[in-house]
Order: sequence, then C-alpha cells, then structure tokens
Amino acid sequence: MEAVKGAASAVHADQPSRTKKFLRALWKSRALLLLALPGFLLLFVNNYLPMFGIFLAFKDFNYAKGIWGSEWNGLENFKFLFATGDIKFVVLHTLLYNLVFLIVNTTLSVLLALVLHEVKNKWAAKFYQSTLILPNFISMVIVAYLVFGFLNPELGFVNKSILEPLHREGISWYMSPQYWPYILTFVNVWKNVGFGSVIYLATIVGIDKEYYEAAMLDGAGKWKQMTSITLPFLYPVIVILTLLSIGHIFNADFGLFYQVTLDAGNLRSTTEVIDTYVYHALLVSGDTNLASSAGLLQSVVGFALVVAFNAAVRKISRDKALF
Amino acid sequence: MKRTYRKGLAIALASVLSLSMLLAGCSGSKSNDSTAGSSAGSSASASADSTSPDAASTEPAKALDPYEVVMVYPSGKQTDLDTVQKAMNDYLQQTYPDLNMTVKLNPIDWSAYGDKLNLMMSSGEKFDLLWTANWMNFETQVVKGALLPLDDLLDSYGPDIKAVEGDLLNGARRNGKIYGVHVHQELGNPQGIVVSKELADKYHMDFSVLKSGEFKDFEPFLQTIKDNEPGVTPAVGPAFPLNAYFSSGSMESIIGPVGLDQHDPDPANPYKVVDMYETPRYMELAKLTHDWYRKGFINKDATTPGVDIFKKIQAKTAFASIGSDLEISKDTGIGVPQPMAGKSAQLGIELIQIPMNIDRLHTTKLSATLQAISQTSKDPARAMMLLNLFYKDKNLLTLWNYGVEGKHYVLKDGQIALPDGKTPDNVGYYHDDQWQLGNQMLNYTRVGEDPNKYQNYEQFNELVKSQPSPLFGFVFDPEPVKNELIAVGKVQSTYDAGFQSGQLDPEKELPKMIDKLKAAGLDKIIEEAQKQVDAWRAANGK
Amino acid sequence: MKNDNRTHPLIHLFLIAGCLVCIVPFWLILMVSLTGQKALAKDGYRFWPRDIDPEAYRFLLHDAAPIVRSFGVSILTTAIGTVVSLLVTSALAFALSRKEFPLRGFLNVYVLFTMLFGGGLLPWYLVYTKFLHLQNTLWVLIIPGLLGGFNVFVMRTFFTTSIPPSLVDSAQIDGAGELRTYASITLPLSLPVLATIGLFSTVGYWNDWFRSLVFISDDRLYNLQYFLYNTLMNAQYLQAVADKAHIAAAVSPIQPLEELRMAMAIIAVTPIAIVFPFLQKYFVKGLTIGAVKG
Repeated sequence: MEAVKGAASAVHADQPSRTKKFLRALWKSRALLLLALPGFLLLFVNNYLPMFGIFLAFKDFNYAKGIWGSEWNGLENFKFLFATGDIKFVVLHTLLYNLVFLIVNTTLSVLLALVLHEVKNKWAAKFYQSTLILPNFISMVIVAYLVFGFLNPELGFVNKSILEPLHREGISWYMSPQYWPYILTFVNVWKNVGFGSVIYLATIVGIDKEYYEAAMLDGAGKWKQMTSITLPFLYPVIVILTLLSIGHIFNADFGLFYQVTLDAGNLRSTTEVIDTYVYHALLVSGDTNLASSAGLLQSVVGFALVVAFNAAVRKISRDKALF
Repeated sequence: MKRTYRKGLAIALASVLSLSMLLAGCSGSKSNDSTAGSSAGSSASASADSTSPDAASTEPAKALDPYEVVMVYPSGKQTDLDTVQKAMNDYLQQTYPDLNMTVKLNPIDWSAYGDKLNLMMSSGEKFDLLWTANWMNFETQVVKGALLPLDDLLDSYGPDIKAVEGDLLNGARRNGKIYGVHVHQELGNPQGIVVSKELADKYHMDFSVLKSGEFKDFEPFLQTIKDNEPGVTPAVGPAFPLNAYFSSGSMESIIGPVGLDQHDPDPANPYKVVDMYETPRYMELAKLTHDWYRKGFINKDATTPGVDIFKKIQAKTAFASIGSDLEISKDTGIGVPQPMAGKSAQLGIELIQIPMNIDRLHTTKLSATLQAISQTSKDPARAMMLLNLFYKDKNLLTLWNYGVEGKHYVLKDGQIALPDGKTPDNVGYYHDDQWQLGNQMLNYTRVGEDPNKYQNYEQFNELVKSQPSPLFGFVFDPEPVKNELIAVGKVQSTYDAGFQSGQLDPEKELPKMIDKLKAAGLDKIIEEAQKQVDAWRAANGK
Repeated sequence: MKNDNRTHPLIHLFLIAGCLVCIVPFWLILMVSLTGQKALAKDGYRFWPRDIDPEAYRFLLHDAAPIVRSFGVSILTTAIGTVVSLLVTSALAFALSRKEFPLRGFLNVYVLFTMLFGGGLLPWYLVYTKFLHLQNTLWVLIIPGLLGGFNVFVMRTFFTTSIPPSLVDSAQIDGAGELRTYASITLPLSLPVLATIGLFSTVGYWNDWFRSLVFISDDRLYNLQYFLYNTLMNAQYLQAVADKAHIAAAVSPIQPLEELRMAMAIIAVTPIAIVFPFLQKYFVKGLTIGAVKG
C-alpha cells in the first residue's frame, strides 16, 4: 500500500518539500493507518478485486473461452436498452419514484425520530420503536402476499370487506395501473420509515443535554428548541444520507417493483423501472450480459450525480460533504 | 493545491483499481486457460476414439483409467444420497467393470439451479453430465459454448440411446449439431377441461357433445352451475380457451405470437407466417371468453399471477378448469371423459378430464428435458457411456429413481411402494425427478398409478407422432430480431392477461393491441420468421 | 430535562396509529400461517381464520435437527459478523473522521466508489472460490458482509458531528495517542451509532440467504433463512415445473404453499423482533455524554 501512495506522491516531484511533508504527516498518523488498514483490505478483496468484471459488460461472454478469452463486442450489450424506444419513460419512472421515495421517507423518518424522542415513558417508547421497525424485517416476497391479501380482486380484504359492504364495485387492482404509484409509495414508506428513523434517533440521542438546558434557561419553548438545536444537529446526517441515496437514484428496489406487483403485465405502464426492464429483457433473450451492462450504466450515472451534488454541498458548507 | 490533490487522488484510485485487476487477471486467466486447454484435450481424445471405433473393438480394448462422472441435476436434498451413490457405484463395478467408472451425484436445489449452474460453468468447474431444458437456458448454453456437441459421442458410445430415441434426438440439434439427449418419455400432452366429478354427477352432465372439440359446446354446463350453485365459480383460470388450446391446436408457434395458422390455413400457402392475434380463430375464441366473463362464468382473479386453480376446485369454490394440461390414460381421445387419476389422488377429490386437443409432435417438446455434457468434462466419452446405461439398464435407472430396494422402497406386485411405516419425508431418498433422466419406459410405476402408465405413454406417443407439426425439425434463431422480441413481449404482457381472462373486450381492444404490436416491430419478426422457414424448407425439401 | 413528564396525547395517538399499521399486517401473516388450506382457498386472508391448523409449522418443523442446526449457523455468523463488523467499520470511520489523516480524501472516495460500482456476481464468486477457496466455510458467510460503505459514512458523520472536538483535543493534549482516543473516548461516546450500525449488521446477517445459495452446497452449513427459502422454493418449483415440463401431475402431495411462506416469515422474523428491544436502550433518551465527561 505504501508503494501505491508513494507512486501518487511521486507526481509532485517538482515540489519535494510537499512530498516530504506528506510522508511525514503519514508517519505521524501511522496509528490511523493501522486503524484504517483492515477496512481497506476488506474492501479491496470484496469489492475491488471483483471489479475486473466490469469488462464483461463489453464482452460477448462464452463459457468455453472464459472471461479472458471471450471476445469484445463493444457497446453491443447496451443496445437492448434502447430496443423498445420507451427507455426514456422507464428511466423517468425510476428517477421519479426514487425522488418521491427519498423526500417522503426522509421527511417521515425525521418526523418520526423527533416524535419518538418526545415520548417520556420508557416502556412506551420501547414498544413504539420495536413495532415501527418490524415491517423492515419482512422480505418483499411476503409483502407481496400481504398486498395480495388486501388487493385480491375476489377475496382480498379491500374488495370483499370494504367495498362490498359499501355496495361499490370491486376494483380489479392488478389490471389498473393508475393506483400503483400510490400503492408502491405506501408500501415503501411502510417498510422503511421505521428503520430509517433509527439513525436519526441515534443522532438526536447523542446531542449533549446541556444545549437543551441552556436553551430552556433562555426561555426557548419546545418548538424553538427543536428548530435551533435538534434540527441543525440532524442536518449533516440528513445531507449524507441524501447524498448516498442520490448515488442509487437510478437503481430501483427490484423486490418492490417486481414482486409486489406480482409482475402483472398490465401494470407496467406505471411501474416499469430500469431493473425490471432489464430483467424482462433477460428473460426473453436469455443473455445475462445485459444485466451487467445495464448495471454499469446505472453505476456510472449514479456516481457522476454523487460527485456533482457533493461538489455543490461542499460549496455551501464544506464539512457536510461526503468527501 | 486543490488540483494536484485531486490529481493525486485520481491516480491513487486508478492504481488501486489496476492493481486489483492485475491480480485478479493473473489468477483468472490461469484457471480459465487450463480449462480451455483440458477441454480441447479431452475432445481431441474423444474424437480420436470415435474415429477408430472398429480399432477399439477388434484390438484388446485399452484399459480405461478410472474416472468419476459427475452428474448435476436439480433436486432437493436427500439424506441418503451417499448410500444410493455407493449402491450405484457397486453396481457399476460389478456389472460393467470394463467401463471403470464411478458416479458422483451432485443435486442442486431447484431454487438455485439456474444461477449455480451458470456460476459453475462460468468458473470452469469440472463436471460431466447436466440436466438442461429449452426453458432453462439450454439455448443460451449452446450459443455460449457451455455444452459439447454430441454427434460423434452418440455414434460411438450411445447405441441404446439411438435405438430408443432415434430421430427424436434431432430435436436438440442446433446449427447442425446435437447438444442434448432427450429423455425418453411422453411426447406431449392432451389439453382440455377438468371438472369436479361431484358436480358433474349431481347435474347428470353428458359430455359427449364435446367430441366436437369446440369450447363453446361446454357453455350449457357452465350455465347450469351458474344458475344452481351460487358459491361456485363455473370456470377458473388462468388458462382458458385462448391459451393452451390455441397455441397447440390452432396455431403452430414459431416464436412469441408468430407462427403458422393451422385452423384456417391458406390452402395456397400452408407455410405462411402470421401473427396469432390477427387470425379469425383468435378473435372468435377471445369473444367467447369475453362473453363468458360477462355472463359471470369466469373468476375475477384470473389475471392475478400465481392463483392456484386446483385449490379452488378442492375447496369446492370452482367447477371446471379450462385449458389445463391433462394426464395420459389409455385410449385418450378428444371429447372422451376419463377420470384424472393422478391429480384426483393427489388432491383427494374426484376429477374428470376431457381432452379438447392432443399435442402435435413439436420440436420444442423434444428439448424440454435433456441431458447434456459440459465442456468442462475431462472425459466426455465416459460421460456418454454412463448416460447410455440409463437407456438400457433398468436396475441402474431404478437405483437413481427410487433408491435402494428394501431401504427406500419395496415392490408390491411390480409397483413401487414405501417400506412400511415410512413417509416420503423420512425414508431417506424420495423424489419425483424421474423425468430428468434416461428411458422412462424402463421405470417402475408407483402404487396408485396405472400399472400400464408407460404403455399408455407409448400408445399416446404413437398418436402424437402421427401428427407431427409441419415445422418439426425447424428451430428459429431469434438473434436478428431479439430487440423486437423484447418490445413485442412487452406489449403482449400488457394485453394478454386481459384477453385470456375475458376481461377485455376484444372487438375494442384487439385492434389497439395489434397496432401497438406493429409499432413494436411485429412485422419485422414475421418477415424474419418467414425468411428462416423458407430457407429451412428449401434445405429440407418441404 | 425536567419540564413536563407527560407526553402530549397527540403524540401517543400518532404513534399508536403508526404501530397499528405495522402490527396489523404481522397479525395477518401469523393468522394466514395458521389457516388450514381449504379455508384459505375458500375465504382468502382473514384476520381470524375459520379453521386453525398449524399444518405449515408441522411441515417445516417435522424434522427438527436441520432447523436447529441452521439456527445455530445463523446465530454464529450473525454474532461473529456483527462484532467484527462493528470493530472494522468503526476503526475505518474513525480514521476518516480525523482531519489529521492525510489519506482521508483518498479513502473517502475509495469507500464511496465501492458503494456505486461492482464487478458483478460472477467475478465476486470467482474471488471467493478460485482465489480464496472459501466456499463451503463459515467465513464466506461472514466476510462479504463485514464492511459496507453506507455504514462507514454514517459512523464517520456521527464521529465528526456528535463527539465534541474539545474532548478529543483535551485528551490528546494530555498525551493520548490516536488508538487511545479511539478506544477510550470515541467508542464509549458512540453507543447510539454503534447500536444502530450493529442493528443494521445483525439484520443483514440474519436475513441473508444469497451467500448460502451461491457458496454453500454442504447442507450442514445452511443458515436459517436459506433453509427456509429452500424448503419453500423446492415446493414451489415442483409445482411450477410440473406445468413447464408438461409432466402429467406431480405425484407428491400439494404442499401448503401460502401458509408455508407465512410460517417461514414468522419463524425468520421472530428472533430479530425479540432481540431488538434489548438494543433499544441505546436509542432511548437517557444516555448522556455528561456521565462519561465527568
């Protein structure tokens, strides 16, 4: 690892004092190097070594020739993305859903954390938090069945026990695309808000009580305390989490869009996202290369966005940035 | 400072990346090179063997080195797998000592089969025989070089396979070479209507009118149920007249919705490729289904994926299932009601089946369950020898099918039964994967099944073989239109469920769908299919 | 904070409503898992089934040994994985939080990059099998889950914003080195975030079945989730396959599929749901920095 760093610093050959300074700083912080080493190695083995697979997106993989022997086929594997011409809608859907999810989830998670913090009774707080977090532990497959239990056109709870007694016509849920953006958002919120609030709550709890005591002495009410102490402490976390989400803004939760919709063809006009699009193409063509090329595109765009947003955040307030 | 900082960052990151790729590269290429080398070597030796079969039989056969043939197939975990494996190996040693081979059974869970097999192949792992199917990546495996061509191996080491399957082996021929060995089994199924016997008897239903093979003749029975049984849905899907019946009986499918019209063919041009949505028969059946839906004959949740129709019949909330695959019995024929023995026993209720369509012999059926040899095999000849045994040696096949006699099964009047006091869960070795391997006609039947089950299959096979599909032997290459297929598939998925369940009105919606299909490139697919069909006809003198 | 010790009733109302929305589906899952097959086909999902029949549980648990074993594997991998993960993550996050660390910028990007780019399943598989030969070991279940970029960043943010720099500075003036600072100051003050990341880790390890699917063929090393997933998938596939391969009626009895899925969900979730309240105390108000400061 030292050699790599040395190579990097060798670039500064024209300013030997800078290199020397760098090396000296390194030596001074050798304890930190030690602390960072296990993580570095782990990521190297688990994440960087496999990265040579990125090549596969540009190859026509052949089992007999293996990874190295397979032929390059340039951008051939990416062409299917533009096959149906409605890739723009698919990308738009993905983007919109993720934006909505991001905004709604963050707002509700923060709200929830603030509210939970206000609960004085320890046992009540424990109960609330444990319950609210439960949905996150259920796998999407089960969630799909739950949704089905509610939306089954014949026996589902909504049609049979709500609409029927009201003498209204049962809705054919899995044939009606217009409801699903709402349904999916609701499911996403239900599953993630409780869990998301944990981070915010942990941050709030870490705020030094003295701030609140001082504020109370100054006569600040609950609301003022929240807006001038709690929220500012939460901002860095909110910013970081948002930045991290932006990196994945072109990736969709496959379980949500594929399993919960039961992959009903009719719903695709409002629920098709990049990941399901790729999956369907894969099923038709049987070509697994397609997934790696789509994935690569998603990563590249996501990365570019994070870098861009991060730069913007840096301009505003440097220490809140990701890097 | 900032600029050089970023530059340093970028360089450092790039160095890390390249270092990792180098490292991975070295180990990766080493392993893959060795694989490529060895498979070239073994196929060379295989062809060397096959070019001199006479030599091998006239001179004293050179002693074969011991070799372990690894069999990969999808199946659940068996507690006594080792016991059965050992029994098979002992048998092999005793009965075929010259072959000097042992078997290693490597079943992979169903849920992981596709992925794991793909990983094994991609990483160059050594194994020999594998189960595959055209609905389980066979085509991709062929195109991407995962399977060995078997023609020469079959000639040299697969005499019994060839004797039993004969020309049917051509179903797995791609680009002139055979890549899989079809399991010898039933060549198709009847499809039709399944009804609950209880309700049929209650209303004294006489199904002889169905000998016409027309679904609309079933309507009076649906009406009877609708009028008299309020809690029972007359017909449950997801399969309705449009689905099973149509694709096999009325339409000879080539790819997707494209194929030859068999119901109203153009007498001047029987090989004209059309799209099924535009045939008059489709509209007719779609209207019938829609009509039934409006009359309340069809379940509302028919479009929801994953609905289990037989459970509904079992729970007595449904009367008939239309368009299901049926069992093969003695003297199966169109419009002939027979008890559906297997499913009735399974569900604990009495079912009657009435075939409305008998499958033709399709090329696709012949690649629906195959054994192939992996290109990572180190001795394909031996693998083929083992495979051949499963086509002639009843004892070996029975070991794989049912386990060790006395321990995993006992014979009662020539049928397989569980030893007393044992259940499928605790007997140690029990599966229903017999359809994955060998010559099924050699199989024992289980107690409760028709003892002549396999004779019935042979009888049925003759029926199926007597009406081969006009495109038998033709395999479509989707590569030139693969993007259009994706687009067309998408349009189909939006409308199909609606038409099949009768919820969409075909008079209004079918034209819309056809427009969308054309916009997605349907005509290009038709053109390409026609081109390939014509070329195939010319090459095969049709 | 001593003003009013009663929580505003609106808050309780809001939270109770939220809890209902979360519990009701769970209740439904539990009920469906206990519903008899016939009743399920007839009535669909009901909050109180007409016919209670723990058939699915009997099916899953009839052979206790493999389940108990897989339970053990899950507990082992989760416990080891979580502890080691916390150590490695916090160590890296700490280094990244220190402005004095010259490699900070580089490592930040290094970590971020792994969150966005990946080589794909096959190369990852190759690294662990061909390169490290860890297939069919417990390690392959633990190592891949040890370090997630997300966790590192969350921890780093916590370290930089919630630990007062004055504490760190005064400790260092007193002669404490980085390691000492990490161990005696930062870690003890980070219990909330450690518990948070610990929770994420625990849930991640507990729920994972994918690594077992790809790397484990020895059924003694199956973890609970994979065991359950497997049982379900085999039953499901058999039914689906029967159609595709045109096999005339599978002879094996129809498994209670839907009840099975629900029963699996209950078995899989219950341990976590029980563990969580114990981690709770780190989130609930009461933990003050003041105590440590004194």
